[in-house]
Amino acid sequence: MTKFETTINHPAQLNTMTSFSMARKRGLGLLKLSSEFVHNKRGVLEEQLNKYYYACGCSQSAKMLLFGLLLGGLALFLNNYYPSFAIPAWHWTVPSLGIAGAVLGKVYGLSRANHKLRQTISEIQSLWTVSTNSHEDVVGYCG
Amino acid sequence: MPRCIEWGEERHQECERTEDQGYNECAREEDRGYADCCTWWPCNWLCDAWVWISNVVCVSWTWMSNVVCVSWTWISTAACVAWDFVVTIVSAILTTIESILGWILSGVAAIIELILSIPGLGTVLRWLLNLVTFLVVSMVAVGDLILGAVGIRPEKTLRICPVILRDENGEQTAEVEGVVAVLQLAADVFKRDANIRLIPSRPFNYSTGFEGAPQVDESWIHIDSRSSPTEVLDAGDSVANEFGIVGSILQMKMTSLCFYGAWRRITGFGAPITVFFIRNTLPNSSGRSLWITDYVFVNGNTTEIFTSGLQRNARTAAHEIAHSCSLWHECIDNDPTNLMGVSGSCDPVGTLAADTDNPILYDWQALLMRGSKHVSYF
Repeated sequence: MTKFETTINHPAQLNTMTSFSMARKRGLGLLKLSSEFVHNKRGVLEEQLNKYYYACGCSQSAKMLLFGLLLGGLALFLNNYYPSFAIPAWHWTVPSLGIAGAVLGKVYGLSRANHKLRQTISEIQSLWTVSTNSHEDVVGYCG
Repeated sequence: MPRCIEWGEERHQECERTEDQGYNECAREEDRGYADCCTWWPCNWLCDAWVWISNVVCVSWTWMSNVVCVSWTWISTAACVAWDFVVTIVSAILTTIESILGWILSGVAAIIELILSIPGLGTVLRWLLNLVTFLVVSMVAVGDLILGAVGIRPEKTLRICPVILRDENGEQTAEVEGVVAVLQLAADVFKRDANIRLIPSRPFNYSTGFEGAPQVDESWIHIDSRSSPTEVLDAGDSVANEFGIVGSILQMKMTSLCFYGAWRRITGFGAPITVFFIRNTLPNSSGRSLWITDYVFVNGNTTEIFTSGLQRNARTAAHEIAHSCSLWHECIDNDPTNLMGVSGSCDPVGTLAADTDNPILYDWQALLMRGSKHVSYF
C-alpha cells in the first residue's frame, strides 16, 4: 500500500488545519515539515502536529461514556427505590445518558486537541521564517 | 490506479492513523490516571479501578471507531467503483450516440446561439438561460453533493474548448506548448482533488474513471485562423464587454470554433467551457472569468515557459475554469497553495506569493465544482 505523506513547504499552509475530521482536508497522510524549517524543536513540533491533527478524542469520550452510564445507573436506582424521583421512559435512561456522554466527551476531546493544534501551529509559524520567492511577476488578480 | 481506490487507500490510512493516536491517547490517560491517584485506602483502590475501567472502555471505543471507519471506507469505495463501472459503459454508449446525432442537436443550438449573440438583448437572454440552467442543475446536484460529502465521489467529466486567438498581425496570443502545459496542470489538479476528468469537447472522446489523469495534447486546442479585434484581444471590464460588441464576437467565436457541444451549452447539461487565450486582461491580472458566461479568458503570456521549465503562471487556466464552476477567491495568506488564493481577497492585502506550480483544492471546493452545470457524469 502506498504510504501517503504531505510536506508542509510554507507555514501559511498550516492556517486552515483543524482536528475535526469533517472539516479537515482528507488524504494528507503523515504531515512532515519542510527541511527548510531549521530548528532544534522541528522533530517535536512535527510529532505534535500529527498527534493533534489525527486526535481521536476517544479517551475523553470513553470517560464521559462511563460517567454517563454511572449517572444512568444512579437515575435508575432512584427511580426504582424512591418514587418521588420517577423518570418517564426510564428504561432508556442508561443507554441515552451513556451515548450523550460519549458524544460530549468526543467533542470535548477533539476541541481540546484542536486548541492544542492551534497552539502548535502558532509556535511553528513563530519559529519558521521564510523569504517570499516566486517567479510569478504578474499578481494573481482576476475578475 | 482508479481514483476511487486511491481515495479508499488514503481513508484507510487515515483510519489507521486515527486509531494509533487513539490507542496512544488511552495509554497516556492511563499513565496519567495512575500517577494522579490518591495514596490512601480505599481511595487508591477505587481510583485504580476507575482508571483501569476507563482504559478498557477507551481501547474498546477506539477499536470500535476504527471498525466503523474502515467499514465505511470499504462501503464508499465499493459504491464509487461500482458507479464508475456503470458510468464507463453507459458513457461509452451515450458518447457514440452523441457523436453521431449530437451534430444535429448542436446545429439547432447554434441557431439559438446566433440569436443570443445579439449585443444587449442577446446578452440578457444568454444570462437568463445560464442562470436558469445553473439553478436547475444545482437542485439536481444536491444528492450528489451529499454523497460526495461522505466520501462517495465517482468520476465526473468537465469539457473544455481551448482557443488561441490571433492578434491584429496574425500572431498567436500563446504558444501551443505553453497552453498544453497549463491545461495539463488543470487536468491533474481536478482529477486528483475532485475526481473530475478534464476532456476536450469533441466527438468520439471515450474515457473511464479507471484511468489516471488525462494527458493533454495539442489536438485539444483550436487556433483561430482569423485575427481578432483589439477590443477582444485586450478585453477589459467583463460586464461592459458582455453587453457590447466584444461579448457578441466572443459568443460567435464560441459557436463556430466550439460548435460540437453547443447543445450542451444551451441545455446546461455538462456545458463545455471555452478557454480563450487572449493578449491582455486587466492590468495586474492574469485571467478573467465572468461566472454567468460559458467562457473564460487567460492572459496568453501566463503560459510562457522559462528556461528553468517553470511557467509564468501555470495555474491561471485552472483558476479561471474553477471560477466558471462556482468557486470564489480565498485569501492567499491563509494558504498559498490553494488554487483560488489571491492577494486581493485578504484584508488589507495579501503578503504571500501563490504557489502557482502545485495548487490544491479543498474538499468543499471539490464538492462545489462537482455540482456545477459544467461537470457531469455523462
